[in-house]
Formats: sequence, structure tokens, C-alpha cells
Amino acid sequence: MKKNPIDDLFSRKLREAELTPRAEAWEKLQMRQQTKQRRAVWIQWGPWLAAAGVSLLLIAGWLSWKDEAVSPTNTQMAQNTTKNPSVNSLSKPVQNQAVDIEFNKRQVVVQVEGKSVVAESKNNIENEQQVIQTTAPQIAQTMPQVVQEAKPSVESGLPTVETTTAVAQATPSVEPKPTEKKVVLQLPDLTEMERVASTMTPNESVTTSTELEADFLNKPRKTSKMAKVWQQLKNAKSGEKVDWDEVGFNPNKLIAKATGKKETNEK
Amino acid sequence: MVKILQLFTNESQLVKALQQGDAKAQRHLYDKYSARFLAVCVRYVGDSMEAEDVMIEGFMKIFERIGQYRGEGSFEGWMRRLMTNEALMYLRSRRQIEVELDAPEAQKAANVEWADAALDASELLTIVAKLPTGYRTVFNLYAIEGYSHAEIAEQLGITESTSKSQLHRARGLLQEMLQSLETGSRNVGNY
Repeated sequence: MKKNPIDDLFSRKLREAELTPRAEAWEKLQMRQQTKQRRAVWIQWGPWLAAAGVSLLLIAGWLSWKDEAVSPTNTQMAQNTTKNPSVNSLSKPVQNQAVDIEFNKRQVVVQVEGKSVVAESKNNIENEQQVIQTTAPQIAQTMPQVVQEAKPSVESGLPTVETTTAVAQATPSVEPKPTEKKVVLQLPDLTEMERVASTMTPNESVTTSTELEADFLNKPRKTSKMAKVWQQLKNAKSGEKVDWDEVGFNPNKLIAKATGKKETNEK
Repeated sequence: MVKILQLFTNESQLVKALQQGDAKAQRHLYDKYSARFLAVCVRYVGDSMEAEDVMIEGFMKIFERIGQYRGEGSFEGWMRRLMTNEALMYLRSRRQIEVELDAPEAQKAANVEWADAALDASELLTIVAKLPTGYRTVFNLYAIEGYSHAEIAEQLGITESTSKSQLHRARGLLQEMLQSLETGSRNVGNY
């Protein structure tokens, strides 16, 4: 079939026609390629990065939630430990080694390198008193000075000191016997302390200290709003009673209000 | 540079390098074909600046889809098809392919032999660029690329008869423009 002369003319002349593009065209092409590659990388890795971010957030949230959930138990455990008399029994060997001076029931707990050493301080101390205490040699070497805190106690009829700070000074191991160590308890001026103590009656001090302790134990732990709501949600799930005050709103009240309004509108 | 050119003298080597994403091979391909493909884009799009953009996009398609080329048929033909498709996509996105049926018919046959001798490619390109988009597209696809009316109808989403009528009118307009060029140059020659 013979080709149309117009078609033929344009076909022959334009099929191999050339028009030189501007020099910027190649740079433009390269820039677009780079942008496309970057986009492709984001498309390829974007979902994975997003998933990683979300999982990190979830892990962080779970960890914080776990800490919040565990912390009340920890405090309870700590309280139990302080109340537990078996702690005293654990440190009995050390106690038995202590030089026998007339001790009352007051106990001083000294924390040295994680080991608890129970020392008993004499109640009828005058201005200064030296207590010779036998401790393990390694304790004496590592801790030349030990600060002891005496627990406040009250003995009937006797003037007492509410808080006694005793400084135990361990002399360096100069003595030939490495097993024995002298600990000097330097107590503050008793007259001063007696003056302070005399302002408070024993009964009052007991009650305040016990109240403080009870307060500390019964004080609700500071938790975030979210944790409270979460706790109530858990209660609701497990079928326990839900404290709506903790949640911040009471749906029953809201419904009651809404229905009440409706009724008033109807009236 | 000489070394690079020597490396890509063989087309299959060039294709292999392009398939590996070789930047030098890409540059070589661009240098070799950009002028030709820009002319193709100008034929379809009309405006040279827009045509340059289409050509850049077309080259990006070539680099992306080079893995799909299996060495069957001409490599240039394969690239040209991609370029043409890119130009058509551009026209479709601009909704510029409209069917024009009320264009004036050519009254007198143009002296094609004179035009063949006197006009160069750039002048003919300018004439084609002046055609309405619908006519231009059908004329390019049928007369220059060699597609059938059925293929054009399928590609542009029009009927075969519409494609035929568009081609007929495009030819008429081109003839008119060639005649006006002929008379203009003759007048210039007389003076």
C-alpha cells in the first residue's frame, strides 16, 4: 500500500530528528533520581522503622508500668524486713562477740558493705562512753569510721533521748589480734540532748513516732492518673470493686444526671 | 572518557551495565539518545520545556525498567516506546487529548516534493507542534511511529473511526501549513 505523501515526508524527516536538550537537563535527571531513591528507601524501611519505634514505646511503657506495679510490693517487703525479728537473729554471732557491757534492748544497725552488724548501745550513758565492739577485721580495715544511728526508744521512768547519733570510730588494725577491733562511740553532749528531750514527754514522743510510722505505711503511693485508671480497669476485669473516685468520674452518676435532665426536659 | 566509550561500544554491554545501575552507562545512554528522544517528546507535547521534563521522566523509566528488557527486538525501539508512553501519559494527565472534529479541511494539495527539499526537521517539528493535541497525537502514532488505527484507538481510548478522522484532518492541516510556508518563501524569493 502506497504511503500518503504527507505521512511519508514527516516520517522520513522527523523519525530521526534530534533536538539537543539543555545542559541542566542531566542535572535535573540526577536530582530526580536521588529523590526517588531516597523515597524508595523510606518506602522500604519506613514501615520497619515505624514498627521499631512503636515496639520501643511499648517496651518503655511496659517497663514503667511494671516498675509502678512492683514498687508497692517492694515497700511492703522492706517494711516486713524491718519488722522481722529474724534479722536480729541473723546477726547474733556478731552480737555475741561484742564485749559485754550492760545493754538495754535498743539496737543500732550498722550497715557496712551490705552486712548488717547489730550493736547495742548502753542506755545509761553519761557524757561519753566507750564501747568496745568486736567486728570482723575486714570491716575495720575498709571502714575506719562508721556512722551509727540509734533508734529512738523510751524506757519507763528514765529520761530518754529521742534521736541519738553515735559516731563509731574504728581504730586502724594496729593491735596484734586482727579479730578484735575497738570501736569508739562518740555520743553528743548528753546534757544538751536531755534538755531537748525534757521538753517532750515520753508518751507524746512515742505516739508521734508511731503515728509517723503508721502514716508512712498507710500513705497511698503517688501514682499517675493513668496508673490509677489502669488499676481500676484491672479491678473491673477481675470482677473486683471499682473505685470510681480513682478513675475521676462515675458513669452511674453521669447516667443519673443525664436521665434527670431528660426527665426535667420532659416535664 | 575514551575508555568508557570503548566499554559501551557493544549494545549488550551497555544494557548489562545499565541493568547493574552503572552511573557511567546511564550517562552514556543519555548522551547518545537524549537529543533524539527530546525530538520525540516535542512531537507529542508541543512545548519544548515541557517536552524536556517528559524526556527526563522517560529516561528515569528506562533506567528503572531496564531489567525488563530481555534483548528481544531493538533496544532503541524499546526505549522509544517507553518515551512515547511517557508523553501520552503526560498528555492524558493534562487531559489534552481531546477529539476535535470541526477543524478546517485542506482545500488544495500541497507541493510535497518542494517541502521535502526545502524544509528541515526543525521546521517540520514546528509545524507538527502547531497541530491541535488530538490530531498531533494520532498523526504521530500513525504516520511516524507506525501504529495501526486499532492500536491507536485502544491506546487513546477512542474509536477506530475517530482515529481515522483525526488523522485525515491532521493531514489536511499539515498540508495547509506547508502551502502557506511555500507561498511565503516564494514571495520572499520574488522580492
